[in-house]
Order: sequence, then structure tokens, then C-alpha cells
Amino acid sequence: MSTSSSSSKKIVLKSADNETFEIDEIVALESQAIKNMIEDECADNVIPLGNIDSKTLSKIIEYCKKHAESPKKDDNADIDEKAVEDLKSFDAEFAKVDMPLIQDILMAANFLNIDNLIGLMCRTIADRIKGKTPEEIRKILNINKNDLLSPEQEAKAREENSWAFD
Amino acid sequence: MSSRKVMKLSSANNDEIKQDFISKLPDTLLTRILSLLPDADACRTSVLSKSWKDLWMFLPNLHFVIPNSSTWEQASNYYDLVDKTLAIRGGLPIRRFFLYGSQMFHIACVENWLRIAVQRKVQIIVLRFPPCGSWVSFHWDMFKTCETLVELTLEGQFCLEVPKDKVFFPCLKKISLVSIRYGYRGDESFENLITTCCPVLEELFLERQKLDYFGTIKISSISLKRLRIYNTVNVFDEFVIDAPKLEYLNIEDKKGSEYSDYSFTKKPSSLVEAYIDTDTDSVNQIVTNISAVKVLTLTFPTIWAFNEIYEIDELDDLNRLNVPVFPNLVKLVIDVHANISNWSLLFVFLHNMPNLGHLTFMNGLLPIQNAGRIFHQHWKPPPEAPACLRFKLKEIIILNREAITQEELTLIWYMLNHSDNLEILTVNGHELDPMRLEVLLKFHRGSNLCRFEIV
Repeated sequence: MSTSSSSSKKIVLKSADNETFEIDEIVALESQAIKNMIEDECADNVIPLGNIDSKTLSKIIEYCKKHAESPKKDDNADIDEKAVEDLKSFDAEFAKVDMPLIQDILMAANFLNIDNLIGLMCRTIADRIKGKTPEEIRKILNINKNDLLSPEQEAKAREENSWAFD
Repeated sequence: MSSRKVMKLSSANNDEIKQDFISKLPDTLLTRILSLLPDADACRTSVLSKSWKDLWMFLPNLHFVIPNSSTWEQASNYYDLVDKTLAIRGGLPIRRFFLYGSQMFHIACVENWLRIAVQRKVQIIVLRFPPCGSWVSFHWDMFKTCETLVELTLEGQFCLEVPKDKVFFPCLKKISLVSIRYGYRGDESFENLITTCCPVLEELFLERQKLDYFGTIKISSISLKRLRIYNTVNVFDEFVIDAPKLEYLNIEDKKGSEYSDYSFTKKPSSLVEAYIDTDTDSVNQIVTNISAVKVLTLTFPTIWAFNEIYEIDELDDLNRLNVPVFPNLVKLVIDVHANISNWSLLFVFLHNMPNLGHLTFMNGLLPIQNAGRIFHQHWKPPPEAPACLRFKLKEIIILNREAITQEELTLIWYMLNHSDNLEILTVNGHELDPMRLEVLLKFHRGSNLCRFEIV
């Protein structure tokens, strides 16, 4: 009944490489997917996370911990600016990782449905490709060479959005 | 009962995922990334690979430029592309619909796109058509039930016939009318557009560069908060402004031989900020009506225009200038981008700004190319310093100068000497002569607290 007892409840997550992470339920609730599972009472004590490796999972837990601790915007209209700034600089630091890890985090966050984190990863990717040429972007995102357009297709695509290439 | 769910990502080949993981993200995520980019950046991703080719079609902002081609066939191919894009998106909302038309266009098609945009809850519409070519007219009443459209930009030869007492844009907050040539009864249509057609309009930008067959331009709106006029049409014209809730006013009106007449039906008392750059004879009326502002930018042509009206030759006559008092003004920005002959006029204004706390010179204290007029080396500093200098002025900023001239030092010396409460003087000069800097630093300062910052 009381909130203190529910907040101290623990949840165990198990990564693809069989590492287990015990976290407070409140931290796990940052994930809408886990929240739904708990509400539907179909979560066992240990939640196995099929394809999320331990490196990605520990990053995600780090993120959820920080965000679960921070006061939520809609809780209180006048939360102090320092907390907002603090969270901002945490996010900025958090995103300073290489592209493969960003992609892993984004995929996992999408799967776990953690909207703030999806947003942060999307912003990070957008910032890294902003103002870059298609050639540079292909490199940054490691785009599959077998998927490239034929010269005719590329010419057509350029023509359709020619204003953007001027 | 408890059906145990095992969370598992789709079991695609892991190596392949690692190789080009991002292209395999759901389209919703990819479009979310793209919608964080500037529109042009987002559209350029169409050439990245097959997976990215059509993603731009699902973005909330749609940007179409009909090619200015000579054949109908090319144009019609482009029409097909727009049709296809709008169809493929289904019910996905459109945030911004931008269309740059060519001289050849099919009005019924464009109108159909606009109808679809309205159905898709469009918030911003930008329609630009070339200045010559056929007249553009839509059934504007297609917007009359649109509760999402808040911003509209029209540029080109539009035929805007707006009857009296009709609401076409019930939720429109901002309208930009750029180089529009109005159809028959332009004056009346324009007035109806602003006054009744857009009942909640807050912002109007009116740009006129070409003859648009206007006589009197009446801007009458009880909801208008921001007004910007950019006028370079070299014919006599008349603006009547009736906007009691106006908070921001920006007038750029310079055209040489002819002039514009500005009048206000009532002084807007809620005005907070104004930018005035004009050489029109009507400057006196403009400045008198904006005297409630807190923040003001004046360019030197504006200040100089005052002098021209009163034909002041002798500096001693300056007090005859009909400069109003600005009781609320706390920040003044002076943009010296044209010829000035001396600073006396500036001081007439400063004398009437008793609460001024911040003074910024956007382009130094006098133009680098001081051609045309001869600058009075013998500027006679006013015997009694303006009250704002003595009591209120806390900050002076001098921006955008490569060096500081000897003449400018005179003015800086005067202001430093008489500003008893000055806290900081910031000078942004790239090639500041070290000798002059030394002189500057040794100037007597009226205020002990005054700091220098050389950027």
C-alpha cells in the first residue's frame, strides 16, 4: 500500500550474455514496456532481455537511474533550474559514445519503450549527421554498400528534392 | 494464467544488423531522427541508400519546388510526385507545407494539395509563386474550418479578394505577405484580410518591393501584437495603423525620392519594443507614437530625418526639434549605418530618455566611409549632460568596429566623464590602435565602478 514499500521493491534484468542486474522497481518503471509487464502481472522476478547485451544494458540502467531520481517536469511546475541543468549535462555526457553503441542503445530503448532515451539518441544521431554530405553520412552511419542506389535512381532522387541540394 | 512473455528482439542476423543497423530501425524512428534535422538536410538523405530513399515523404514538414521547366511533361511528373507523396502518407499529420510554384502550374492541382494539407491538420503553409506569370487565386474559404493553421506566408502575384465580414483563417496567428500583387480592390481586400478575416492574428509581416496598386494601407486589428513593415516601393503611400495591443513594431521604409505617410489612430500604449529605420518625412509621427517603448533601435537615417524636417542648420536650434519624451525607455540601440554629420541629434534624443540604462552602438559611433557629409570635427558637447547619463546609464556597448577613430574618442570621453553610474563599457574592435587604447583607458571616469571590456 504505502509508497515506500513499493519503491524499495527490486527487479532483476538479465542481459543476452546472462549477466543479471538488480535494480529498484522505480528505476525499471522508466521503461514503459517493463511497466506494462509489471502492471499486467506477467513479470517474474527475473526479466530476460533477449538481445540486449550487458554493455548496452548497463548504460540503459545508468540512464534510468539518473532520470528516476530527478524530479519530473510535470510533477512540479517550479522545479529548480539546477536540477534541469544537471539532467541536461548528464544527458550530454551520456551521449558521448561511439556510433555502434548509440545504435545499440537506441534499438534497446525503442524495444523497452523509454521515450526520453529514444529522443536523446535520435537527437545525438541527428546532430552527428547535420550539415554533412551524403558520402560523409554513409560513413558515419556505416550504411550497407549493397543497399546503395543505382546512378539512375540517385539522379532521380536528387531531382525530386533538387532544392535541398542547391 | 500468467502467460510469461520473453522479451526478444527480432531474430535477424546479428552481423548484418551491426553492419547497417540504422537503416533497419523502424521507419518511425528514422523519421524521428530526420525530423530533428533542418528540412534540406533531411531531404538530402534520400540519396543515402534504398532504405532511406523515400523516408522524406513521411516527414512532418513537406517542401515542394515545382521545377521551372519548359515542358508540361516535366511539370506533370512533379505533380505526380506530390500526389504520390500525399497519398503514401495516408493520415499522417502535416506540420508545414511549403510550395514554391513555377510560372506554369495547375491551379486545381495545387488547390487539391492545399485541401489535403488542411485535412492533415497543417499548421504552417508557405506559398511562393514567381512575381510574373498568371495570377494565383484559391478558394480561400477552404481554410475557414481549419483549426490548425497558425502561420501563413504568401509571396507572389496573388489575387486576394476578401469580402467584408468573412472569417477565412479562424486560428491564424501569423501572416507574412511578401511582395504580393493584389488583385482588383487590393486596398479593401487587404483591410478585410487583416481586420476580420483573421480574428486572432498576432503577427503581420508586410514586405513591399514592387508596385502593388495600393493607395492607403490600413492595418487595423484588435489582436495584433507584432508588426513588421518592409517598404521600398518608390511611390507615395499611406499607412494607417490601428492596433491597440501592439507590443512590437519594426519599420524599414527607405525609398529615396518618394515618401510614406504613417499615421496611428491611437498611440499603442502596450508597445514594448520598436525598430525604426526610415528616411521618410513621417518619422516624427512614427517616433511620437512609439514613445511608450522600453527597448528601441534607431538608425541614423531615422534620427537625421528629424533634422531634415525642421531644416535645422544651426546646432543651437536643435531644441526646436519635436522629439518626444520616452519615459519607459531602458535600452537604446543606435545603428550608424549611414552618413551622419555630428552627434548633436543623438543628444537631443538622450535628453528625452530619462531612464535609459543601456546604450548600444551597433556599428561604432560613426561610419567608416564618412563620405557625402562632412563630419563636424568641432562637435560641441552639450554643456549639461543628459539626465540619463548622470543618473541611470549603466552599460555602453560599442560593436562592430575595426578601430576607434580620434573623433569617436571624443564622444567616448564625454560619455565616460558624465556617466556617474556607469558599470561597464564594452568595445568590440579588432584592430584597436594600442596608443588609442591607452588614451581610452586613461580617460577620467565619472563612475569609480566603471569597468572596461575590450573584446
